[in-house]
Amino acid sequence: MITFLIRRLLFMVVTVVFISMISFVLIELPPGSALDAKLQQFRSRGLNVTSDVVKSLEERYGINDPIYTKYWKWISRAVYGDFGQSFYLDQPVSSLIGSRIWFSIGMSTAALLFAWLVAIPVGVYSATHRNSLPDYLITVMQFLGVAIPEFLLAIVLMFIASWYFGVEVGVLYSKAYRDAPWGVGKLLDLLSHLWLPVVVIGTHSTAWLTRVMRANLLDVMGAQYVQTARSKGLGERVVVWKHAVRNALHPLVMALGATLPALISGEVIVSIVLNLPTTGPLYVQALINKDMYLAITFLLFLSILLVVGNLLADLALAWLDPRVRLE
Amino acid sequence: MVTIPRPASGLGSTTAAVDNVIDVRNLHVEFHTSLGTVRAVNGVSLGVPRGKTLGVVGESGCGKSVTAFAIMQLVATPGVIAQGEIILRARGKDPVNLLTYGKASDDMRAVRGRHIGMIFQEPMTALNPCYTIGNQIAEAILLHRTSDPAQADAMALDILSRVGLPSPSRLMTTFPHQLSGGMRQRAMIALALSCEPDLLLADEPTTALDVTTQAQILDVMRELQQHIGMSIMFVTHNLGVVAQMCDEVAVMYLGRIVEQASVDELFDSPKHPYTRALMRSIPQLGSGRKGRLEVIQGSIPGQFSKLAGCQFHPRCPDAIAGVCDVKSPSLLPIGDGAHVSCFLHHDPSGSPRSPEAVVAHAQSMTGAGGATVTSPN
Amino acid sequence: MATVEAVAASQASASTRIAEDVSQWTLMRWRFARNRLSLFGLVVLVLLYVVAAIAPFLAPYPYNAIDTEYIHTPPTPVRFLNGQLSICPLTQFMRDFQWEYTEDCDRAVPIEFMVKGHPYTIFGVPFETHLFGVTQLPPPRTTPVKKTEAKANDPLAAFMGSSGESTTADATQPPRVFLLGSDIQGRDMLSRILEGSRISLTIGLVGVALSVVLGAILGTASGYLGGLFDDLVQRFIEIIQSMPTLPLWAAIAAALPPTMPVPQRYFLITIILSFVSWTGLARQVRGKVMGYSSLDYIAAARLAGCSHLRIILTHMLPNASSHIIVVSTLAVPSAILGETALSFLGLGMLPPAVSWGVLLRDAQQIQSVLLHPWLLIPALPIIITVTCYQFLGDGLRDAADPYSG
Repeated sequence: MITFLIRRLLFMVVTVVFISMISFVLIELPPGSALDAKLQQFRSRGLNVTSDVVKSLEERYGINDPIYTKYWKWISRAVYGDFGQSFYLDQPVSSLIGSRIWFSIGMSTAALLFAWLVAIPVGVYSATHRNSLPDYLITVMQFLGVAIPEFLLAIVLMFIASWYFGVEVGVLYSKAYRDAPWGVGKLLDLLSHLWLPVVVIGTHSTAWLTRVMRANLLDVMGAQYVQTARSKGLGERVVVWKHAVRNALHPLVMALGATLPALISGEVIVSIVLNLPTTGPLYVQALINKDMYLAITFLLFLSILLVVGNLLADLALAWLDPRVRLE
Repeated sequence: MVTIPRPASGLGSTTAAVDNVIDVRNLHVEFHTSLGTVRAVNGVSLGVPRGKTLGVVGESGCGKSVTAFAIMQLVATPGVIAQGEIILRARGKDPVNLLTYGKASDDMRAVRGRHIGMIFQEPMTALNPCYTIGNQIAEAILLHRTSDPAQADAMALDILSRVGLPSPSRLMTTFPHQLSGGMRQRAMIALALSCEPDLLLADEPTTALDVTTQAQILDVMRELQQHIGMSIMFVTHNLGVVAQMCDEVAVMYLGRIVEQASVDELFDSPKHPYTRALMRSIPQLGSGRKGRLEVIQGSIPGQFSKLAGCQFHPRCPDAIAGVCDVKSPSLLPIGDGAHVSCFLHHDPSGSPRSPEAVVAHAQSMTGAGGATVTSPN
Repeated sequence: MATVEAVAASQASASTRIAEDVSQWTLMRWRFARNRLSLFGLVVLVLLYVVAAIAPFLAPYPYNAIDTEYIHTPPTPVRFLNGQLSICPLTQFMRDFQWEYTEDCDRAVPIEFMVKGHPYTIFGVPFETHLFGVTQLPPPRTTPVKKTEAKANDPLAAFMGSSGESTTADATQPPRVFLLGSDIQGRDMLSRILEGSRISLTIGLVGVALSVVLGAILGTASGYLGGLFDDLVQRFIEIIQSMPTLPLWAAIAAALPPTMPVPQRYFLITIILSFVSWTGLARQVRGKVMGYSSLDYIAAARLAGCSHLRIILTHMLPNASSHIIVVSTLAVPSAILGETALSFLGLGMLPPAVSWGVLLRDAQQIQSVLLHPWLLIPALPIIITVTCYQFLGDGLRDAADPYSG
């Protein structure tokens, strides 16, 4: 087990390094430099930007260095936590990313939990009450849940919440708590605003997971050990939940790794639509403004989130299924 | 005719006279599919004597497994028990018709595992891979015999050692995938016997095992049967196993029983043409390499086809034109507590024909390459 | 006995005949046809693609025709007046800084079919006929215009124009039939949705086609050849799959200069979309191929002297082909949603090009949507398309799997 973890962690580090390289190349692709937006800012403020100024700025930030030099400079400082400077916002990247990435993690995790807590019971019900009216309704909702794009769902739900319920959307705290110090009240207020984004992010995964759960459970119910369990005289409920569902969860946990990218991407796009202070809006802005270091660091952290998530999913699978041997 | 060593069996006889732990009467199980109704079990009556083994043999699809499942009311949907009675005479309990219990009722669940145990064909998939062997056996014990987990564990340990599994205490905490096929089958036997049932239903338990393991499993089953005094209904298509294990045999074809007799009787003088054909198709040691193996001509009709008259008559070398294709024979007694369903042995009104009449009739068919009824060895 | 036996015999041989004589594809087609939901999905999809092909015919107005007199008009109600389908011309006026419209049904104008409108081409062939349109002018006013209470010397009245009303009443142009309303630049939503279908429906197909080619080739080679090549490809796939999809697409798409011409942009977006999805297909194909390559008939083929390439082309790919089709069909909706998301963020297709994602960009502001809910309508075709692809993919998967019910 320990050897597995060590090997896996080493592999993760290698993966992350490769990802950082790929991200670096990708962000560097667009023509123009990171400085362009900044120079634009200067010019619009009426400052005189001479070519000397431009040159010295370029030298200072190593704009014209070859890409591997830039990469090396960046990565060697990144391991100490210094991810460079955001040109556009004049702030160190680490301070910009800091709180936002925790929000992203929190919302993605919450959405994941939501998806699982809903999908499992609904999927089990759907499988055990096959071809009944609730089953058909659930199937329809599953299809829709997968088909409706998340940002659309975000808009529609915002619309409904705002029009019918008068809920203030697009903010994380209501006016009363915005500048208040942390406390129970603030936390509750935060949660009452977060449920909408979390539900929106999780809907897609919920729909998909429900379908998978239903299909898996139908498969498992035909297995021999379910018959054995019944032949022991166990009640149907015990047979379904203790014996069948436990086995049906395996493919679900295996698929857990596959749902993570969707969750993270969903979080990004929903936060853009709802204008939440998490990674999404800032990331897109950084891309558009070619704010290089900010964008790269975002992409890197999102990838790390995904890699760690996959590791946790593998560990969960090993814990759940005694047949899986970690190698 | 066929010589296979077998243990001495008592005078077996079926139905009413002897104390049968289970009596199946006129059982009909149907499967309603979108393409039609399949009559998987079409009027089956049999009984398993207390402390003895009844073998149920037949080809795949003849309904023998469905019969066993029906006794436990575990027939999978869309199967439905349409008709019949299943009388259980458990030790220390009044006889009861199991079919009066609902499929999922508490009464039926109290019977399953406690009075009737079942072992299945596929040992590889019959145990839940997520739980230890000990857990799964103790689960059954906790359900029926005790509510003390420590005591349940002790009893589980006991039954594991009785099926001949090595280091049973270690096995309590192993998972099914860590065991070989033979060991898993023993574990399943342990599971089925953990509550000391009156009847064990064995649905082709050795089919998936190699011959050496098969012999071991059969030994275990015989031993435990004598130890506990339980009855076994052994469903199989392997006549060799039947000869080894069973006291009585019922031969099934297309959802009906065509012949029922003690094992000696069946192997020495099979009566029904189907049984005779089965016996002839077994390769014999020492017969040399002459000729081909005998096969039963024709093939099993489709599930939905409805045949007039005797179900076997299109493939029967002894079929009587005008009788066998028109009327359906019933299972009637003949001789020593045996039963047969064939117009060769009973005329259409139900009265038995004399043995001479049977031989004469068969000889009259010999010209067409008919059956050769040999007198008992 | 003879008759029954003959019947039984012929029944037996009939069923064996059926099983023997049809190919895998015919079997698949039969099973698929029994699944009503996937048939429904297929029919609707075919309909959608036909609509996309003849979009300009169905659209009453050019998709980029700006009309400042019809900003954010709600959907024009179609009424049945004088025995004809007609619309009532809208009178535009301003109230509280918002343009509002009222109908003037006394002067209804009929909707005509197969009218002559703006010219267009379909596959290079020029046409001028449109399915429906309004070409007639409204009859002149018979009743005076209802004036809002305009006080004399009211500075606001002066500010907002004479009576705050525009003079569409006596316009020289026929009234507009905006069946789905208009956007902020007065462009007909229906026409834009129809035009947008051309990009939205095809970009996914092209993207998936690319990824299928790439994924099938790499997956087959990887699974069949094994060894170092397989290892490298698998590591590469893992690295790509460790990056979240949308942010990755966004990063690449941001590299495209905004001034790039539309066809080029379209092509590059399809490449971007296929950049990630090929990995999923490659993995699945590899799994299947590894399953096949251990089968005996492959060894037999090798012994017979077949080259690797021949084995891959004649044995592996055809066996995996049904699986590839299923996976591709299920990948198209993600590509469509991907393009929609990218365009919505402003990183995918950009104006003047039109796709459903570009249209939804106008619906980003909640306040705007609250006032003009019809801006959300482009979402409907997206949902319908994705759902139908799912039905289709599910049906194909069930049909291709020989062991499912």
